[in-house]
Amino acid sequence: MNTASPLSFEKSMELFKRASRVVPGGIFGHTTPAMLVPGAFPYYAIGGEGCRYRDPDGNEYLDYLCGYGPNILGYRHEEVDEAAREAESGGRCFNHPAPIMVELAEFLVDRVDFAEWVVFGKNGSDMTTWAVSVAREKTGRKKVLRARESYHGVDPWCTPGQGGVISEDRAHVHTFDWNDPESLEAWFKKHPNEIAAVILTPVHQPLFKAAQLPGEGFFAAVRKVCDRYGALLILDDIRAGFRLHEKGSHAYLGVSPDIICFCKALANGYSISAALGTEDLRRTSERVFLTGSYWNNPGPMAAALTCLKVIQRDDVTAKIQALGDALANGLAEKAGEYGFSFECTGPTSMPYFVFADDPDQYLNQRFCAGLIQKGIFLHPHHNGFLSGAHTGEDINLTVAAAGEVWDEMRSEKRP
Amino acid sequence: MTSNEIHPLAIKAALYRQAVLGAVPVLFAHDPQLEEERGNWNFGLKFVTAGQESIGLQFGAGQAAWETSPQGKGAATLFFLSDRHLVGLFEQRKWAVPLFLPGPQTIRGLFHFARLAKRLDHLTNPKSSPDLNPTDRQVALRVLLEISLRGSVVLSERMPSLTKSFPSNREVFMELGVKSMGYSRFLSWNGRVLRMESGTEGHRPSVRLFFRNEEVALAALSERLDPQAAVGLGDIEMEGFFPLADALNGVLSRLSLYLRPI
Repeated sequence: MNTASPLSFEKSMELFKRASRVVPGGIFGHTTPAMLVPGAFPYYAIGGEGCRYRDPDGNEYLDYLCGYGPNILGYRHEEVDEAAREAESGGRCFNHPAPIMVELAEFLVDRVDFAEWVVFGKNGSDMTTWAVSVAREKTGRKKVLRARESYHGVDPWCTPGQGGVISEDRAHVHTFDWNDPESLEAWFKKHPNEIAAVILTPVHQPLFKAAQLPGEGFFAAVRKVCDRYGALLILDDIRAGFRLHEKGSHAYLGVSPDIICFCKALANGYSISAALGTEDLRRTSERVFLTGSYWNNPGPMAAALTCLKVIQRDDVTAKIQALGDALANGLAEKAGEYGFSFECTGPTSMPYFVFADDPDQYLNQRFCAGLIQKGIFLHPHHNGFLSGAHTGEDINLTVAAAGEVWDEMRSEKRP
Repeated sequence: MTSNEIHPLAIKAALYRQAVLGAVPVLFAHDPQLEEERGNWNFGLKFVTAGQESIGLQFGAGQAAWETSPQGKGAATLFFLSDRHLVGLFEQRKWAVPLFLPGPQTIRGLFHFARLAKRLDHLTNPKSSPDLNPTDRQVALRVLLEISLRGSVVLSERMPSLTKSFPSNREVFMELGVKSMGYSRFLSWNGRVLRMESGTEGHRPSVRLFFRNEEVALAALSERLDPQAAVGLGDIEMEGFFPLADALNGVLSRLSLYLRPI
């Protein structure tokens, strides 16, 4: 961890200047500097191990983002990487899938109790959009309900971006309030035979805002409403998958969806996503065309199989929850010593930290910009992620560093 | 087009009335070319379109004022049969000649306004910007910023679909400015529409967006800048609630669809 002179991001900036000439935005998508505190964070990464990574300027960071979630075991987990290397030792992209696909499919179907089949893709969006299509095909209906400010990917029906979206893309996609079954049912009452599916994440994580856990009985109520009106329940477990429960968040919620979507932590950073569904949807799922040139590559599939086995073997889900608790409690206590109110919202294994009375994120931006100078990466606007590579010592280091930043902040003039 | 959508021509006309004409007082106040004669301008102009809100520009006592539904009698009136004719005049279509109803100082007033219009056109034309001297550049920026922010107000009123990304549950203030000039303007969002503001009533703006210098600001307002890259490079400084900046950009980026390149 860097604690001496201020960190320089010169090489990051040089790269970014070059990129700005040939890439729209310089860096597009969720890793754009515009999502962080521009100029106060590195813009590029060159390598990592465990829970740390390095930037082109030679700075190293204790990381609480895990590549935006995938690296549940930490960067460059040897067993996972070895499995991927072995699987692709004979080549990568053939005319057919490799046998590992069968192994992984069997493992997942066995693991996810309500599911009888699985399909694979590359990104979360591939699966959520496909799942919505399956629901429409199954029910013959058009409408889809989602929680307001939820995130389900980047396709026109749900992208958080505004550009290129026309009203027709969203004409049959409607929002209701998270944790409010009545606002959900109101849509069904208004359109009793028109709703194909309800799609939900297990935890509500609106961007730039506090996360919200499901209220008691919320998902049970959602399941009941879906059953009553003949709509499918799709659980978007892309972000939370295997972080709330090692078998998937449906097990944490105690409610079985009709389709569950996984990505991120599925393969510890290798690109693969999956959707699993009930037997009742098997034939329907075949009718909804799904494919991609690289989707059958064996490396990510082998990585996923090994990752899931390691999660189970090493009790990673429980470990990251315990570490998350320690981090949340430690930071809250330390913040209080300096006169700040700083709390974890959402599950501690995927914490989103907020200051009291900071709706516009000024304090959070200052705090995270200060923390990065101590060699600790905490995203100011996105929930963090713990990994199996974090240790209690890392938590202690983080809390101590946070205290140093709060010590600086309390003497600064605040408007 | 559904009955809920407003015809693009109506939006254009509203933008010319409220944003472009609304920026004339800014030009009048800051244009160095008017320094010696500013105090001598004493006339009014009304822009009247059949079935639409009238706009007035009043010049006097060294100042210019833009107003809606002007009541003053001593103004020359330019009467447009329709929005199409008003838009045609601003887009320099030869057939778009308004009807004149003379008032005091008509000829002199029209002459002055024609000069002002030409100056506005020159300063806001992206092709001119590389050749502008530093003083003219600052004037151009003030005018462009005024047009942009007023234009965003118009769009928020007439195209609610553009404002879906703004917060639904709180009133917020936004500050946009040019750091090198020490100049900024304010907008508020009240849950339904945007409004121009003179300040933030003592509150910290929910988002602050500052262009590093005039060159960056001009490029941004002329749509010649990659805004996301500019943020990453530090050419646009942003702090606070970033989604507001994104939401505002979503509105501002629509202006060029309706206004001639500014």
